[in-house]
Amino acid sequence: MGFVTIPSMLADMKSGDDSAWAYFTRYYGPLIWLRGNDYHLTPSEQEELSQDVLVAFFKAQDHFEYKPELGRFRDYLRTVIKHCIFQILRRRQKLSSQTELEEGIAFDENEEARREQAEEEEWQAHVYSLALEELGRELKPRKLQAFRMCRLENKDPKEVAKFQKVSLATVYNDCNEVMNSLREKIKELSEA
Amino acid sequence: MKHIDEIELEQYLDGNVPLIRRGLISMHLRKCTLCAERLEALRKEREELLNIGQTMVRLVHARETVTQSGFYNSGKVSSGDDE
Ligand SMILES: [Zn+2]
Repeated sequence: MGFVTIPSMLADMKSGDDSAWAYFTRYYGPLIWLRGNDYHLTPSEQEELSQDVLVAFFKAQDHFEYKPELGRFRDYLRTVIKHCIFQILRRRQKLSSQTELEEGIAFDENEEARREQAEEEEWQAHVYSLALEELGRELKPRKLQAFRMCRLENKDPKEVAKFQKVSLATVYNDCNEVMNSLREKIKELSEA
Repeated sequence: MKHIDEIELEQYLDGNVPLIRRGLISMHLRKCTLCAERLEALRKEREELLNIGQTMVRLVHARETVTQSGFYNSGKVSSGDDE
């Protein structure tokens, strides 16, 4: 399944389309899990979180119209996840009001800033993963491998050339081609 | 001297340009603000990519955990209408 827009993914999920569910699970499940992990949720609370987030999406779908941009979806996803996490923590701590809990959790500003930074990085990596997967359908695997090794894993291009049994110039050309396509793809996805 | 192309700037960053050519590029970079800025942008882009690469590892790990844990294994949840 290639890149799908958020509204069509949600609509397909609602109609019970398995591939849409698989898509959501694959791409958004990990992002939800990482946020839960950041708040030290237990495995069963993590499971609760994943279900709560999905239910929240369905409920919201009846009331709101989604703006299809990834950025908007990201803001929405962030709000939903955080709300669900607070609900879980509230249940756990048996606090009577959300205000109290939010104050309690947000009190550590450094911790909150670190969470936001992590969330920012994870979203960026998520968008790049989507883009690279898309490029995997368009470019030769060798080119993507060279790019991954050199640019994402910081391998020496000379070593990569040796490993791939190609010239050093080929490695540089491949990396450059992938990078140019990636820049385009990221732009596309951000505007999708 | 015309501007340095992007691939050569990448090779320059890695020290993978023959010595004489390297000298010529260095001279050009001292005089040409445009190429110097392009080189700096490439350097920053690379740093960013390395960070993204590391975060991708975190994402892959999370994906494996999610898959193994069986979250969503029921496949679908109800729309919540029954709540
Ligand atoms: Zn120049």
